[in-house]
Amino acid sequence: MTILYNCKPMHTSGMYNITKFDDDMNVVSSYVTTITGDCDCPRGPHPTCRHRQMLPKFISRQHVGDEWFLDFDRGGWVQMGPEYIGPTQLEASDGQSTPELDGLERDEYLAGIMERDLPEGVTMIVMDHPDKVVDVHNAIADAVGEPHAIIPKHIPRRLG
Amino acid sequence: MKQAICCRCGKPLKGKVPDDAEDVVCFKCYEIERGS
Repeated sequence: MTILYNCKPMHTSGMYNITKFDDDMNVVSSYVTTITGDCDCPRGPHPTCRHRQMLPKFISRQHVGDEWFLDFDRGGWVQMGPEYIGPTQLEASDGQSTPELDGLERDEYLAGIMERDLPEGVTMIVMDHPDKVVDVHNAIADAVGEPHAIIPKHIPRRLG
Repeated sequence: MKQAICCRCGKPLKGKVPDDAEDVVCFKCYEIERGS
């Protein structure tokens, strides 16, 4: 009997779902494993378990959330069909995904979105750019106004 | 890293693997091995 595992990222950074499948690709079990060395499997209180051993393999092979499965006992990898791709990856392959771009190409791609695809009056701000925090502040200030401090006219004096 | 190919049938697979990887199989070959 061969057992395959896959690994999907959770919403919380550093947490992964490692799922075990049987011969017919039915889910046998699924446990939350973290890169900090925690696992909620029955061997969680022990120093290690197979889930904690296989998580670095999934990460180093970049097979988190894709259709690749690990045959842990054999130590090999199996590529399944696209139906086993995680939801995030499925969304990314439905034709509305962002292509894999870097550097200038990516900036140009985003600029294209800003020019063509956004409704009138909607501004796109790229959050992973260090000096864009100012743009976010300004956009919020433009939309709702600057915050005003409410200072009481009379501040009672402390006696002591 | 190199293009992943099935180590049994040589079929190109999606993604890349380390240059010395010899532990990758496609689902078809996996099923054949598993069935035998």
